Amino acid sequence: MSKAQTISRLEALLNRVRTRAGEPRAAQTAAAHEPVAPAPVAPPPVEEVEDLETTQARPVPRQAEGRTNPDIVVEVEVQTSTQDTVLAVPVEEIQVPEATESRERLVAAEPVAVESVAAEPEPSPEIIASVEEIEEAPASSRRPVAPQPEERLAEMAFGTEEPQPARHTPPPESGRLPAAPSVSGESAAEFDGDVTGVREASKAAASQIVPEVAVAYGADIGPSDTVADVVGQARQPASMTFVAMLDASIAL
Amino acid sequence: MAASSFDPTHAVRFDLPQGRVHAQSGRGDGERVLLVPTSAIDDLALSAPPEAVQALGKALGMAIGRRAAARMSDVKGASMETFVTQLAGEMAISGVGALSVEMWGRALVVVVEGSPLTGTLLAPLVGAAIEAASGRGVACALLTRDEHVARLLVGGERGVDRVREWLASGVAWGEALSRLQGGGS
Repeated sequence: MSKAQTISRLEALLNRVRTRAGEPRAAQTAAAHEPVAPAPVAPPPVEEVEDLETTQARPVPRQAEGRTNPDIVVEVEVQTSTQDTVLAVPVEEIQVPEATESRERLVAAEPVAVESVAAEPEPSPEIIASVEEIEEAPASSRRPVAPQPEERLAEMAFGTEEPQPARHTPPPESGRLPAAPSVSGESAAEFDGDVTGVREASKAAASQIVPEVAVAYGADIGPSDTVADVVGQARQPASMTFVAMLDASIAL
Repeated sequence: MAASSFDPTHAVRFDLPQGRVHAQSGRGDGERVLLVPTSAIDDLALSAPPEAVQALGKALGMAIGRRAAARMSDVKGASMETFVTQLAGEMAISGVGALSVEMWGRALVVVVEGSPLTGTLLAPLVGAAIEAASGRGVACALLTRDEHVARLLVGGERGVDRVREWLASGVAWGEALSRLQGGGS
């Protein structure tokens, strides 16, 4: 195939794409809120809403990259149900076999996905209000204990049998806490919080430890002078002069 | 009898204008002495003939013994403690070392700790000091000597010669003392 033939085929293919892009899909793409970066991703045929959501929410897999057209870059704008930014991943141009090309499915699948996602029911205002009510509780006061979300939904749907008193956490303990011992000098350098992870809270807890006092049990024995009984006197060694001892040694 | 303590008062007098040193002996001006470095004594003991070294040791010991005897009114009646106290005091004044006495059975052994003198010089010195102090003719032989302690046998000439022979033949000094008193193998 010569270059002229290749160019002519490409031009014909480009005209066909432009023609199809200007047809019924043009109105929907005009309603898109945000511009989308070039996304030559050709997602697999989507027939259900869940499949489309999962495809939009995660990066394009490697297999999808292999399905891109190496010569044509198609700009696709997708409108999601949550009005968030549509993920668009620029993909390098990779040579793929012709059998994996699926541009027509891409055009046909997207409107279905958008409508299905848009038809999903939004959360009711009551639930939103209840959630906001829970989150607005002050941090330093008694905080109401909210029931589980399943119980709350059941109450809103079927009503409560009898009103229950509001459940709260125990009130915070009042009173002054003992101050942590001050650490200064070399000790402060040894217990650097950024290095050791030791924080002030642990020091305060350590200061509250009260050492236990051992109880001693001793015998009550009074002094007495009548314990010792000395009998007689120690034997005195025979007093010898140095000269006598020297004579004994000389006599050996 | 209680052992009298050693009184070192004015034991050594330095006459600086005259450049003299005197060792007091209790009566008179005492004996003139010379402060000699121990290294000089060691050099002499190593280079001089044995007879000269023995003569030097005896001379040094005789002077010490005479001064010790001068401190005791009755040498023959002096107790072991009194005699050893005065003799050890004069040995300390002279810088020979710390003297004490041990009795191994009937054998009298003199112990000298921290002495700067060699054994060849120390044995005649101790023997001469006891001989001069007690008035008895004695012989002395070195039993053992290590870095700090020296033990010397003080006795008769015959017994000391036997011990020297045993020591020269390799008999331990304890065994030699035992043999001297009729025991051992």
